[in-house]
Amino acid sequence: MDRLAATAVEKILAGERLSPMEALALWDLDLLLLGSLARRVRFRLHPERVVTFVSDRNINYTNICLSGCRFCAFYRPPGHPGGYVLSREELARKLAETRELGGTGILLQGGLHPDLPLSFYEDLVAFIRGYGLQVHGFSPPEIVFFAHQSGLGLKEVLRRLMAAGLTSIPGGGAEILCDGVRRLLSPGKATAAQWLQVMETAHRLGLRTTATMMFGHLETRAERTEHLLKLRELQDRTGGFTAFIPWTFQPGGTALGGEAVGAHEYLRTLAVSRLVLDNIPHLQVSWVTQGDKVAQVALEFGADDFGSTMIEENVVAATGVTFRLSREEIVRLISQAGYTPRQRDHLYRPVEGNIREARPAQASAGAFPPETPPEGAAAPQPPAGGERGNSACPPGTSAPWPPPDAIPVALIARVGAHRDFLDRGVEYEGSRLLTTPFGQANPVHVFRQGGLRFAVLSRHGEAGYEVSAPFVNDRANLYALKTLGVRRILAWCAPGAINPAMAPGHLVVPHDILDETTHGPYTFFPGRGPGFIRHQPVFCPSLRRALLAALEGCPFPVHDGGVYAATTGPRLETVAEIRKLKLLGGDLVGQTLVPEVFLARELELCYVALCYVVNFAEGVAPRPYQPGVLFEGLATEEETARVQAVEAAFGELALKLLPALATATEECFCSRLMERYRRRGDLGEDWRTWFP
Amino acid sequence: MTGPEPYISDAALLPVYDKVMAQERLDFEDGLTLYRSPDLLGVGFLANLVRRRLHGDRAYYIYNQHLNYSNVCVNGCRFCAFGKPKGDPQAYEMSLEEIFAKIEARLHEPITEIHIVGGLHPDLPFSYYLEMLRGIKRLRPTVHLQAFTCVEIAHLAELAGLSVADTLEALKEAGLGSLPGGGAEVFSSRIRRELCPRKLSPEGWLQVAQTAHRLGLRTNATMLYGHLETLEERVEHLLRLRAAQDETGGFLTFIPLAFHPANTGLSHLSHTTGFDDLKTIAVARLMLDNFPHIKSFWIMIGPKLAQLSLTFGADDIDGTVIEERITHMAGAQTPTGLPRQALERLIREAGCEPVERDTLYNVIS
Repeated sequence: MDRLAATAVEKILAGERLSPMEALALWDLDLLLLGSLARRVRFRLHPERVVTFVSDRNINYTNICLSGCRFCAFYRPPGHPGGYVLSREELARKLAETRELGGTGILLQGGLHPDLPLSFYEDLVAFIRGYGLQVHGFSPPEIVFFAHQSGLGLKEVLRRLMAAGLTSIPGGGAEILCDGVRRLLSPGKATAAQWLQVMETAHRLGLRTTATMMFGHLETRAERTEHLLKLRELQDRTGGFTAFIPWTFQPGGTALGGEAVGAHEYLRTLAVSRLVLDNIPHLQVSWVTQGDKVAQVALEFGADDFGSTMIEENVVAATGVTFRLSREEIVRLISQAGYTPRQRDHLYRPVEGNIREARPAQASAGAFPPETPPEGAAAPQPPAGGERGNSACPPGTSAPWPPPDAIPVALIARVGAHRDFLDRGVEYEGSRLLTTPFGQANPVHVFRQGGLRFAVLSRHGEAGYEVSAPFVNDRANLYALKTLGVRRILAWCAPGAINPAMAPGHLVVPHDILDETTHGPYTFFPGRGPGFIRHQPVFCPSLRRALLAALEGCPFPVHDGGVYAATTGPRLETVAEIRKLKLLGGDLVGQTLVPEVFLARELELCYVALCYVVNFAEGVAPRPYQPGVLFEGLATEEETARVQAVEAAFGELALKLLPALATATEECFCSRLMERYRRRGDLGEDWRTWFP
Repeated sequence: MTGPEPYISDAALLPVYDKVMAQERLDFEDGLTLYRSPDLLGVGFLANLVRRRLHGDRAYYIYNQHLNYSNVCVNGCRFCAFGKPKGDPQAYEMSLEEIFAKIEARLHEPITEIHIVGGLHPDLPFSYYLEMLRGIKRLRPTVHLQAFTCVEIAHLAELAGLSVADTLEALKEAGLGSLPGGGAEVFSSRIRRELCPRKLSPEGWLQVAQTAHRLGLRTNATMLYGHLETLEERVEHLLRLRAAQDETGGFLTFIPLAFHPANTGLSHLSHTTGFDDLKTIAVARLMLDNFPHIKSFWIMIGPKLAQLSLTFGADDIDGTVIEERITHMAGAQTPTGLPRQALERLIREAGCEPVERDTLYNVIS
């Protein structure tokens, strides 16, 4: 082994990042060594012996394409008799079928059609979302093409598609991110820089994406390495890639022709990818190109995701490769490799409730019971009752509460809030996914800073605004936090201002609530009480004091006190409604804090809110309607800049505030709010016995 | 790197690692430990150490022609999609003329071995088999005839009313060069009662093989895995082969055969996984310390897995096989033949040097 390769191995074992030269040296290592290193990194990133998969359907809305890539057997040029654009009826049938088969999303891609307007794609996304399915759609070459066709620019196209409901972007069309190769391979397609730019723009807008690499055609291993390094560099800046999926070029039926590379080179490339891409969380196998056997073996070469059940696949099938795997088969392959299969959605969050057990293994011979997990790996957990792929909160009281490793304080905040801390390099312990008696909680990310452990939970999802205000499962989120031992919560939220003194970019620590919402659930005890709780004050006085003290010297104007008027979304309020709220004494209007605060109090949690004003509510300041934008349209550019400054400072601010809240002297009754019902014998001493 | 780090992640494999390094023989428990370990790469690493010790970077293939002369079979094994009773609409038997025509059709190719396997036909005369061998030899005098599994030999002996030794002598005189390894299935009486009660017993199979060895005929050995057998039964199978090899030394190659369930009496079972295929190759390499070669049969597990098997203990990926029927009747999705360039490319990509061999592993230059 040469010196560079030896250094690379040492660095990998020490958990350090590889230099470009070291990355290049990896290719010369023997396959088993690469595999064992990649497996080690995989278990460092994902200690559980769990392999995820998604149940979705590939829908190719059109095969008419201007691109004419030489490696593609799927496309037809405009005017070709074999060209199609999928009809609504056909689409509706496919969507209904996908739902029936337990699918959670659609992988939506198509050719670069010369005549379809952007509204076609917006409607398409909204139509699919209407079936309750996520849309993982439009690879960068399509986005670039839409931007060019519509003249709107990348950002605007992405914004519109996000507004229509786009969940995430697939990383297709990356091929090899070196223009030398692309000129030969796909001269009509987006350049490497354009591909990366689409991804960066999407990430900055909060849209997560995957990344791919199609290899085994004209490129060299050095060019593959360059591809990986370009992705790593972008991921360092945005953190928006969820997964990387390398696959091999399939020559059948393509203009390029030639021979497909074998399984050896595939596994080598997969392992090198895991080792170089130290900052992309997931690595996916490509069973479509490799077949079930190699795909399963790939789980030992760094992969932790089995990809999709792919209810329909047209593009690879057009090259004559027709590997097909049912959901049961995927579950069996994962299980027999000694891993627990877990269904996920397109944002890599677990999907609950419909993992069926693998068929019984053939005698004892076909199955390898995972008796000895690799070092550092947690013992494999069989899916509880074959139903849940993630850990359930214990309903009983067998474990002590608070747990010995209780997390004292939690931050409930905006979309993808944990990334602010990851970006700041705060020590990250990982995320916890809890299933509660009230359903699935959002992921809880646990960090440690200066001896303080704190939890971060994004109310509205981790990437886009996937869960809008009325649909947040507050009960599950709060139950999960309490289970982890949390006693104090800082709720970060972004209301509009009714009181003109509270301008966009200002911070407000509200002191009271005006509840005008119409949808609960408002209680953990539906249908039975247990009885009244006083809400004077609503927000924990100890935490309010500590929060205001910690905000001293903060660069943004801070308002001590304000009435937060809560409404039910997802729509925004009318001018008349805002006038009414103003008459009733409201200072701010938002859809976030209710019922969250009331539910937190039922769990006897200390809860305080910190609002940053993002706009004036309707009618408070004259703001003309602008199509295609939301809050930005309710604020001037200067106001928006102030709001963005607050958002940019959020992570740093939170790191100052959380220790203050964790150490605040307890001078409140929050932890005894249910005392009356305990005394009366309605509720047990241990809160976990309160719910059936 | 030959230390166990970072290759082995399952500590249970470390005692086996010590034995492999000391070149000590592995026992039954070691075999089970290897099979039960979830550490596929660790097991592969151990097997690869042994393979490299024996064969360095060489990986063998052969340019051969398969001939399945008849699928008529009296055995009716439940795991078989090939055998048909006489009179079945799918039953066939080739006349000697048809067989010779198939040989003649490929005389221009540099074929070094004709691989002949068929069912247990109830009434084809012994002379048919002798004439088959003689006729092929007339057409291709230098070709090596690897023909008739131990099960067929025992059947022919019965048909001819001869001893196994005399049957083998007669066939040898007609041109027989060696015996393929089929029909061993799994040497477990439980499995055989369940799946192939009429088949030649394990003792009978080993006896035919050892008789062949004593007559100077090399033979191969197989194990059909991935149906109803347990891991214990697999390891026992390997140990019985190893013991027989200690006695007569005539086995050349061991070939694990992955069970293909489609169209068999066990079609409710799933086909084997990549983990199982590679693990089985590796365990065979480690347990069968007295077998020179371990072959992965790409027809059964596909070219991709066959290529990977070269890193998990196999040193041979069989041949260019043009017309394979037995596995394809059981739903194999693999191609029925691979050209030489494709085989060589698979081997090179796996970091090995392709070596064309004849049946007895002489290098063809």
